[in-house]
Amino acid sequence: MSVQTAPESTATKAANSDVVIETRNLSKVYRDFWGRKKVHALKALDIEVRKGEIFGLLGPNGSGKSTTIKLILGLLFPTSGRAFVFGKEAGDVSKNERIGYLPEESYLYKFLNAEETLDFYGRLFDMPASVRRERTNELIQMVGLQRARRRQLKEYSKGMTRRIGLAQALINEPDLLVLDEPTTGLDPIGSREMKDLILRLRDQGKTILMCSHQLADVQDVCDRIAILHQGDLKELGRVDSLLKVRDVTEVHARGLSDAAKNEIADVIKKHGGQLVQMDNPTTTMEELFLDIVRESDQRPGHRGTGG
Amino acid sequence: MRFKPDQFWSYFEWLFEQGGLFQGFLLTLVLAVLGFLVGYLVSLARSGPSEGFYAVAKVIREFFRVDLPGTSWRRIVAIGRLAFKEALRRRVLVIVAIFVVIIMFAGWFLDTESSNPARLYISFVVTATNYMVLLLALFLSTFSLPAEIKSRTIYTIVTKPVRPTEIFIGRVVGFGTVGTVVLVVLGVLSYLFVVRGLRHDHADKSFSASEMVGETTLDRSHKHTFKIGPEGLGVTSEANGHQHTVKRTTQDGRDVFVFGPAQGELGARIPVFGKLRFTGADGNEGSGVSVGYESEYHQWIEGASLMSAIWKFDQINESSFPNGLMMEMSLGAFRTYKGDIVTGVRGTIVLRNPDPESNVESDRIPFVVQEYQLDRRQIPVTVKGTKDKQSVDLNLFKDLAPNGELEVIIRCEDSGQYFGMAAADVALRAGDMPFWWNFTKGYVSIWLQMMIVICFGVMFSTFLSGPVAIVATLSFLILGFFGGLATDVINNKKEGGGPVESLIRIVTQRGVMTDLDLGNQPLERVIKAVDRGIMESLELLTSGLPNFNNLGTSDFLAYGVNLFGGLLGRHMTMTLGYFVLTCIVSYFFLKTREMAA
Amino acid sequence: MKLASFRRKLIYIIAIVVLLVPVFILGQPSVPGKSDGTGSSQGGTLAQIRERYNIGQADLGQIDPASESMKLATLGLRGVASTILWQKAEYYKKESLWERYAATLNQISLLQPHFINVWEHQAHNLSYNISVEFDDYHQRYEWIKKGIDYLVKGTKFNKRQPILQWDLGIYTGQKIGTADEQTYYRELFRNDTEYHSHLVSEGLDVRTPDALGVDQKPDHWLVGRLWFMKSYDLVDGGAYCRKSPHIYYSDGPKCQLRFCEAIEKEGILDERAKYQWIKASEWWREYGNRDVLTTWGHTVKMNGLDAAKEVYKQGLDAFNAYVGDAREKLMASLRDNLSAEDKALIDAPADSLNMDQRRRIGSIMGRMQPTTLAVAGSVAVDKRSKAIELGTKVNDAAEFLSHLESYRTQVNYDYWQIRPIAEQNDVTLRARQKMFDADTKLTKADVDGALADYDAAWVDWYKVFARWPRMMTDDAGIDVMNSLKRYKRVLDKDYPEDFVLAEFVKFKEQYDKGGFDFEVEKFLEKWNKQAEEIGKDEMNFFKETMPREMVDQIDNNLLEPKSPEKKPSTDSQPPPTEPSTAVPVTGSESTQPAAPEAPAAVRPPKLENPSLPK
Repeated sequence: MSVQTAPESTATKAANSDVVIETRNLSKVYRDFWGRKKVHALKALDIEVRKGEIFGLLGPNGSGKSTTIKLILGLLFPTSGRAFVFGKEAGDVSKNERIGYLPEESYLYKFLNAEETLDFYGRLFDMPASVRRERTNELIQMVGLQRARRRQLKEYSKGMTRRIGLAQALINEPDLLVLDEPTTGLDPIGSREMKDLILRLRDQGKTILMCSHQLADVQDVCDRIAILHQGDLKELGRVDSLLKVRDVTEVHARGLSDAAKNEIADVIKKHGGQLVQMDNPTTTMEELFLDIVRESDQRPGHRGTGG
Repeated sequence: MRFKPDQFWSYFEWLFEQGGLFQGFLLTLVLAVLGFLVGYLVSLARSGPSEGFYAVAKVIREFFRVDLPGTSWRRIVAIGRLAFKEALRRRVLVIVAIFVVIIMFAGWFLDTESSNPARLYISFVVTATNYMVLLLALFLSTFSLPAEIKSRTIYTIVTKPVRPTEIFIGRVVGFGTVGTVVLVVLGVLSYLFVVRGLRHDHADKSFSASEMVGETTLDRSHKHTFKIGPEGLGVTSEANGHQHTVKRTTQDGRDVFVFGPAQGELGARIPVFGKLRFTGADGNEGSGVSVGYESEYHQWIEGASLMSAIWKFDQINESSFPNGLMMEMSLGAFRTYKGDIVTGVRGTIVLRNPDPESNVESDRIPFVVQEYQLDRRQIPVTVKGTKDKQSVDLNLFKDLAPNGELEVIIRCEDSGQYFGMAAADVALRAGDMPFWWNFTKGYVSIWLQMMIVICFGVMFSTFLSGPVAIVATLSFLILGFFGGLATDVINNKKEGGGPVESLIRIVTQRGVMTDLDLGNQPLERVIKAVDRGIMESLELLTSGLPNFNNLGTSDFLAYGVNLFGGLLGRHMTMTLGYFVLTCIVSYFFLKTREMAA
Repeated sequence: MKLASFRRKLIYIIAIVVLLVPVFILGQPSVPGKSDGTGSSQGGTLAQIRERYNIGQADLGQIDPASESMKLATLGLRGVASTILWQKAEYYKKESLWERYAATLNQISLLQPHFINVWEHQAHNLSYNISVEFDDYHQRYEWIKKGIDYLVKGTKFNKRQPILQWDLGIYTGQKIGTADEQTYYRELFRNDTEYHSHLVSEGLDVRTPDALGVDQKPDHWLVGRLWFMKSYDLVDGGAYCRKSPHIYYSDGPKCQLRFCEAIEKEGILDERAKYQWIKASEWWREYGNRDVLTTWGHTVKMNGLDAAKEVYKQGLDAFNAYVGDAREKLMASLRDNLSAEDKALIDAPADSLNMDQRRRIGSIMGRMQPTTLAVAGSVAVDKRSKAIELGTKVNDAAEFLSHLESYRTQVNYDYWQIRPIAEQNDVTLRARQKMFDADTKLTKADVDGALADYDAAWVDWYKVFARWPRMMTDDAGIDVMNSLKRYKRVLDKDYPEDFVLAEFVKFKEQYDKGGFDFEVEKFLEKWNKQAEEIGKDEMNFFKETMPREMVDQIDNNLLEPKSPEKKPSTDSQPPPTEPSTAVPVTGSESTQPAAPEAPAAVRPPKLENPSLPK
């Protein structure tokens, strides 16, 4: 399992058309009105998102994942470093042609209905009327809002709002989908549906960048993740390899008697090992996450290297 | 009403001869340089000299290379439609309801007894509409963008391929449409209000069958006399600026008179103005004198002297004036002694071919001055005059104005008395426009003001929060009013000096009429120089701002003067200029603003 | 949820209604009662407070909605708003944008309707300053009316401000009547029937007989008088006016006097003029009987001069009788103390003195006149306190007298008392008529006729001047001098040697040159004495110059049983210009000893328009 972490030169990046998002030394400092440093929200982030993968940004509140997304979308300007999307500067408007963005909360116009919303965003992509109509129908179908298509968004439930938000992000059939907390506020079923949708989109060949603090979501759908804490990149790599705890062997068995269990324990002891636990496995993603946070709190400034 | 000479420049005269284009060009240049400097300074502070320059250059390059060509009409319409819907959602139509209430009650307050109710009614509705629409524009335009930024709906917009120009233009279009709809509704309401409010009727009060003349009853504080022709038809005399038709029928052996609706009350004269010059007391080209009035509007010529006022008109042709010239004069009179109280100060009019070679001029046409009112005088196509000192009948168009140019010379005949005049005080009336057309043009002028407010409102809202943007827009508009003040201070027309000097005067409690005597000549010179610098830069600044004083045209409607196409065209051009200006400024603000900050 | 919101709305509505109740109670406007006294209400608390402070225009139906909404619209920035409007008005005035100026004034007054100075100041601007900016006198007249209308509006808002009514009197009377354009203005006013109706609708009955001129049309002088009377009514009802009372109260009656002067100028010189002069006389006397508060705190009557003199004389007599020869003694001792030089000067014969010495004597004599209190102080101790008491009385009486005299001088009381009496005399009227005829004939180039009339006029004028020398120094004297100039021009030579007015001409020329000087004073003294003599037997003095039938008439009247002082019995004897029986009170216990002929001679003249001077 190779984990790509090394920063690439522009030349290689240009050649490597696989790379959809690239950040180089991306930093953001929030300043107050007088220009005094307030928060160092992001510190020299280097990541790359490749075509066709689901890349997750994970971190607690205020870790810098939203900032990263906003920098990538050009909603914020980096204090230093640069971000490229499809090889273009993040500030370039034309990159937006191929991007779909679902904001954290669906900041949509509450006085429009689903159709009008999709039509409006379709117009922003300069789509002709027939294409807009087609896409609108398609997407409403896809997110399952057929019954509510003529209702104003202010009457929508949170889940419906999320869905129309996603539909909005997909109006231009984007190559890159940026999802900010896609499952927040959704019930378990809604959450599952959303995750399935994301996976389906990936299967259609779209690249997806999502951020979340819902560990399960990330674990379920992401191919690769970056864990951020206090603006620092702590971990970066494939989800499966990151979760592989190398010095821990997990044994899954069924129908063992107590005697057999004791025997196994003895075997471990004999090999100089130590029985940590013999139980049903816990959600290790959560463990990993908490470990990182804990370690980071103990040794602030320490940066993970990934892989 | 009082015209400023610049109001009757034709469009091209303004654009080319009077330097409208040049001024616009100059202003553009100044603003471009200024804008670049400010942008660079800001960028300098952010990212250092070379990087800063690069950033500015990049934004400018992108403006011309990427964003301007990439601007899509469909996106503009989409944003405009959204703005329109948003405005409707914010219940802007309430303003129409308020207006209806206002004009309903206005009937109570408006003095129908006044000597010219039409003027009062029109000024009222036009002013009310103007204020309401501008207020509406102000609130709509300034609150929308900050609200979207605050609610973060802007995130979904700017992450689409939407250009900053489109965000600005779309809003201007959307709010402009809302404003237009409201304005049209208010306009129709106003029109009906004026027309209905002025409707009145008379009955006959007395009639003398032998002389066929009679008098109407006193209604709305005026009455007419009327004369019935042989067919039983007639017209009344003119009172309060209008006439009625009268029809006499006999019923049961009694006279019954039917009076038609008022005519001529609502109209739009089309005045043709000339250029005014004077001959001085020595008979040579000179200027008028002052008789000591504070106002410098009039220049005065002395009676029974060589002084005269000469108007030069052009485009005098038979098609514009088929029945000869209708001259409308409103000269001032000033007496140095009371003299004959009963008869007014007398003067003469002479028409002259401006070509000195031709030696054609009319005989003197005597008149008695009528101050502060429009003195109408019909000059027939054929007038008596001299050609090469031979007394002949002159044809107005063939002899006096063969190439459309005509000079009208006015002299005062009473020695020791004076005539006062400004260029607009003598006009030739080239027919009339229908009132509704003038009314429409007046509302177009309001529309232009509204668009300027919207442009500035949206511009300020691209970098300020809603309430601050309102204040900023208002200040900008109000600042426009004070352009004249700065000029006056520079030219010493306002006593008391500039800001520093005024401050010193306030602190030292020195009156404005006294000298600023600080006992230190160089210091005083420095103070005055500083003041001058401040006021001159203020003047320059304000000259670039829209002056709503000048943009208001309600007087044209109220005084029944056809709103000059040139003036309207000028205002349109200026509005377009402000649109482009605010668009560019907005682009740079939106482009360089972190939407998520 | 729904129920809760409904309940909340209900509570709001109830709260609104509950809050409206006190608003209603407090703000209820008062309702003026009907003529039968029913239906009136005092109104709410606010209305009553307004009434108490005299700022109420708040009778229902009289509230000016425009004003109220203007006040509301400024959101408490009324002062700022009116300042801005005021500046705007000044700008309009500067730029001669009169219509806008007038409109702005209306707005200002709507904002501050109880600020009296605004009404006064701006009305003055309209009537006096702006009207003259117009070249056409018709327009000037219109603007004078605008000022008047503005004031009238002010009175609507300020019902208890006599100063506004007083201003109205001044504007309607003096502004129109003393302008250079008075002839035209008067004519315009007379025929401005719509304006008359307007004034009537504003509550001034200009068609009341007292306001009608000789042609039965309202005359502005008399209408002005009506305004003054309204103002007086307010003051008599307790309102305060910041004018000096003696001058303030003289303005109304003076209107009638000025009216008489005006119609004389216009050639009304018959019974109608006489009737108006009698009326003027009457009103002036009424004014004389009015109690006027002086600045020293006591009340005087303008015609109380004789009474005051009497009080003084009696006091002085009593004092002198009490102190006996104390005054003489004191004077003698003062004389003894004079220096020898001064003594010599006093004893020197008057003819030998030069001007300087005369003046010295004056000052010496002044020093030798002891004050009353000094005299009182010089008497024996036991009598002294009583003497001081009496002396103080004398001093008080003297002070009172001097105040009264100064007041009378200020309003020219004497003159205006005598003038109407002189003017209503048949001889005066005839003198004026002849002179007027002559002037008219002269304009028609009838030289002989003019000369004959002039000659007749001079004889009459001589008599008039002899009887009332004051006439020489007033308008009559000026009129005569003007006609004399014309006469002399026609005569084309100097006056004849035995010219009847020779003495007058000499006097008048001297008088015009420098007012009062020694010669003039001496002359007047002589003539006054002579007039006094004539006054004793006025009938006979004038009889000589009267035509036979006139003399007969006088004789008959004298022989009639009723007292010659008695005025025409007003109910049986209609005034000359008014066919109706409504007549001003003209009867009173006249103290007018000089009334030359019984006013019974007053006959209603033929009602015709007076011929105006061409």
